[in-house]
Amino acid sequence: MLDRVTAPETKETEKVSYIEPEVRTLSNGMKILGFNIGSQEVIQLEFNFHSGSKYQEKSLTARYVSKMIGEASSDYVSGEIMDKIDYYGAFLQSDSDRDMSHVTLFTIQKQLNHILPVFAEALLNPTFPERELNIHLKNGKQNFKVENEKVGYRCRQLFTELLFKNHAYGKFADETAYDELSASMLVDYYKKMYSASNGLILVAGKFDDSLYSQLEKEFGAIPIGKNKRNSQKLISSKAEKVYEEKPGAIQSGIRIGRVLNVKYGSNEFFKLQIINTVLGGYFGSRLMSNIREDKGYTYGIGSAIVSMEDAIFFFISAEVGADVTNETLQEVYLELNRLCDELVPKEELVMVKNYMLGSMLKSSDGPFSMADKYKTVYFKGEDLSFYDRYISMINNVTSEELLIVAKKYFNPKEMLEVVVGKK
Amino acid sequence: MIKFEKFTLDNGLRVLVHQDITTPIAAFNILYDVGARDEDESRTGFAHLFEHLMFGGSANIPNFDSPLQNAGGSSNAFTSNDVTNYYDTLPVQNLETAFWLESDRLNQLAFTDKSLEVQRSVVIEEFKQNYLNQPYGDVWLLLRPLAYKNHPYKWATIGKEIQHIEDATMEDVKTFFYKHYTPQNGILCVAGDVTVEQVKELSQKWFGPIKPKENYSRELPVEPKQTELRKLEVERDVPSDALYMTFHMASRMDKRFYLADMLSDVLSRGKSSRFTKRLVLEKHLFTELDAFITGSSDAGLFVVSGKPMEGISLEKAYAEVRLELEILQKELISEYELQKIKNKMESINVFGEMSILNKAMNLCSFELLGDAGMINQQMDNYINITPKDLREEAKEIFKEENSSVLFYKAKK
Repeated sequence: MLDRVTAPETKETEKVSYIEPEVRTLSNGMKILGFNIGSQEVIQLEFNFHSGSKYQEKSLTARYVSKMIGEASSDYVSGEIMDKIDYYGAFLQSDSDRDMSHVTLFTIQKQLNHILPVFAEALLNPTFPERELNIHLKNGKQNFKVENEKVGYRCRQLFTELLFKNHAYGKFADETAYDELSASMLVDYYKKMYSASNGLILVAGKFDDSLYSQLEKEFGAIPIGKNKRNSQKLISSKAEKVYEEKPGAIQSGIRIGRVLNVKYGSNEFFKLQIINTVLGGYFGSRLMSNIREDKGYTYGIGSAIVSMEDAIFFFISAEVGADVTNETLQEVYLELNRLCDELVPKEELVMVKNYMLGSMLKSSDGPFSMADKYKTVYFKGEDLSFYDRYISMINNVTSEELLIVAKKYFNPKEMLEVVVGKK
Repeated sequence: MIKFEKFTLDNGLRVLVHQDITTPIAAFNILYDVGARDEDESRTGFAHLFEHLMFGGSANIPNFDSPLQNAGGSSNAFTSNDVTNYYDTLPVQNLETAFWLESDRLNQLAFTDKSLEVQRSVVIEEFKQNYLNQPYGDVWLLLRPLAYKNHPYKWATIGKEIQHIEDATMEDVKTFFYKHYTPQNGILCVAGDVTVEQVKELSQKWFGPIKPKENYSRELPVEPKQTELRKLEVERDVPSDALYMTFHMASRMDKRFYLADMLSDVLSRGKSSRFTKRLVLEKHLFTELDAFITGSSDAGLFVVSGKPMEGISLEKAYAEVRLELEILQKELISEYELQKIKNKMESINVFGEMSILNKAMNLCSFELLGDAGMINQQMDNYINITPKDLREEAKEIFKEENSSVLFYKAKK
């Protein structure tokens, strides 16, 4: 008879392989990190610039500069570049977060020679036609209005504004910002920020060495410029509870969290990641088990730690039935208190450790993921030893050590609470 | 080219194996041939509610996720109108854990009252979060019954109404399980650094002893041919108007399926597509405009959805979309445009092979349609399509009497 009760034996993930990139430099000084580790015939070519929204003077500038790259250039009128990119089956992705902007090309290997000059033209000589910008802004404004109707979106925005009151991270575009941006602002921002000294090239996939000389040929002409990277000091905001009513809402958005004054890659930082996983970082977490799987108050609840250049912060978020908003808050605080008062039971800690190691294995699988893992730590001044220390902490940390860190950072009284919807 | 091997257990479970030695992760994907289309019209949302219950413990394992997480893995599932698909990814050395867990819940679910009560609430919150408390969230609850009059595609996977989920009883749950969760109704694919022998042995060990149950044969009402334009207008508290149009198209196994798919690409795949280029960027009539197909097994829908620019009426927006569709009915698309679409498809195909889970899911889907081997012939279905084929298909699909139109108006 087959024994269906006893779990099959499992083996721990002992090591995760991280790969060092090849490092090259273009004649203009722009650095290239190359991950030539793929088995599929695909290439990702990503340009990163220190030109995220924290550097902009006018709201939305960073976002629309990156958004419009790939639409028009000095050699191509609006639409031609997009047509060529589509024709060669490539994908151009550009976006801008608080710290950085990224312009990324995805292509299959056999089209590389066709698409590279087009991409270079798009990146080096973009124009920002007033007419197209106005269309984007009108669309953006309308989308903003739609998003703003969602309790989850509104809650996130309010929370971030309050958490970073005295920092560029807390600034959001309001409706009027969409009326105030001009093409000349984009041109200026592009010229100032999209330079060799202010950026980094990442290439991942399957390619041969000649790609580096092709990159020199196409991108060696990016102006040298200046490194614009800088940090703004963050003044911690006070813990408070904020409630914004949305008439007619049948669910409430909830966000609870705080800034963590901890050094990226320090022992405390890793311990916080582990505690966060226990609390709300995976399906079997305490928040999910209690609030979804036991009470059924929500479709999903979770927590995360976000690391940006000038701040690391922690938050819990959920959308819950309006009628159980207060009950949910009560349970969330109960879970935070438990974290600060009780040792994580051994069995639970073992599960979390195994889960985290498995996830690390998964999230570094494939050339694009590997490049991304490297980039994440690289821009924070770390190297791959970050992951060795992280894994070693996961393997060795004790519940006693976690309790000390939990008490220091997860005190419910020090949390900012934002609720949007109906209580 | 995705290589795979296939075998069938005595109880009818079909098993596919795809070896990929480049990854330390294994994907375990199991698809059951049951979706919202198999529901009773008075008890909709059941296939999906059931998917939630599958995580509520089985006869010998009180909690599905804990042991999987202990093995460094994670899992999830989705339900569509056609299928219910469960997947686990975990370090390959712990693959057997997935076999143990998945076979136990197919063998016998725990059926606890607690699980039913909790998951009922969770699904109701999901209903609210995605369909009610969200601008435009109820669109599919309106479009499906407009486009389908007979076929069970007329309700959404989440269900017609919350009431149906509130009314579900343990008896219903059990009946559903015994009817649909059978080895004959399942297709398993394991992908990763594994051998066929290894998967055979594990499948035989864990799934082999499960007895087959009665065969379920699907007899669905046939959707009659639509003969006149259907219109619906609603008013909601949203920031701007929206336009939705649906057209009946061919079923998944019909050759004409690929023509419709390609037409949707001509209209809205990439920034240089016709909708984006002409109606969004040049004429500036829409802030966004998409065309896509539902891709369902039985005859599906070709869908157009868009938000007109402020100041553009829905009537005007509708007329402009019709004009674009009529161009496709009258004029041949250029060889250049056709090649562009084919190139894009080739890329998407190659990028799709990067994810091991993606490969496992696709193999199962194609096996359900009749043969997993079709995964490697997909591009051939597109390569020989000509501009004339597309024009002929456009003439058929985009007939006004084949369409349903929803004017979703913002309350002023």
